[in-house]
Amino acid sequence: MMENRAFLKFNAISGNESFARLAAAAFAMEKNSDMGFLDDIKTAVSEAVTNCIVHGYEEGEGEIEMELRTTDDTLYIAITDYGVGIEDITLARTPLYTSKPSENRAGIGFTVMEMFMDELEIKSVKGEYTKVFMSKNYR
Amino acid sequence: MQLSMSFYKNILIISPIGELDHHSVERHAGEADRCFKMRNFKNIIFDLKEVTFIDSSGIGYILGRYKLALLAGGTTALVNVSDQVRKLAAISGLFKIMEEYPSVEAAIDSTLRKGNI
Ligand SMILES: Nc1ncnc2c1ncn2[C@@H]1O[C@H](COP(=O)(O)OP(=O)(O)OP(=O)(O)O)[C@@H](O)[C@H]1O
Ligand SMILES: [Mg+2]
Repeated sequence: MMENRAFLKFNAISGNESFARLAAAAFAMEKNSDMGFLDDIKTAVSEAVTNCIVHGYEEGEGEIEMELRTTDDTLYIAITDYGVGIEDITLARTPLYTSKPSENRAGIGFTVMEMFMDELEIKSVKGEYTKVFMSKNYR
Repeated sequence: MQLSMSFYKNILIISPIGELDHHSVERHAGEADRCFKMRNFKNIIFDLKEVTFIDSSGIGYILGRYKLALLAGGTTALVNVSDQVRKLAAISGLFKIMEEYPSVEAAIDSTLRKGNI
């Protein structure tokens, strides 16, 4: 079985959102170049990275880590910020929940990640970090 | 992303060109709002034909403009909805509050018939 890995660390600025999702799609492309598949990956990564910037670092300075791993049949993505953390993960995952309703947030980011990927797991410690794991089978 | 805007009577037609994500929304959010308020528009039509990428921030942007039209007593309509937009719109309940049309003309017709002019 062939394994491949990539590790990216970038500034938590909105201009890097497209960089992150395109990098993830480029990494996965060799295994599955289907547009629908790559669009799902791009959207899920965009959601996770935007959350790091908007919520984790509250638009302030910080760094985001993105770990990509692939086996022959599955793509694994982990995205981490060392920002404010999430106190109540169950609440955060509730569809349409947002802690920033005044900023025109739909509150669907985690639901999108869940639906577009096969697996979503969130680990967080308040005041320390938030790490989002996702995986998707190439089918 | 760029925002292309046009109008018909008091309908503002917003056509985003490119990626509708948090980054582009932050940079361009104010443009359409200023235009909407300055010229006393009442209704909004989003023509999504040239949108190459959209995520929840893009949906949030559309929701925000919907509220603006609602406050003005008008409606918001969607045109040229791609599969990607459709999936996100379904998750967010966007179709419960605004209608989708096959063309800008059809959206204008419907807005006119609703008497929101
Ligand atoms: N990296 C993070 N750090 C801290 N809090 C987070 C992080 N990611 C998500 N959250 C919390 O979880 C909530 C839900 O996230 P989700 O992405 O589902 O919605 P949203 O970001 O608020 O809105 P949308 O994604 O639709 O723009 C957020 O409002 C925020 O309170
Ligand atoms: Mg989000």
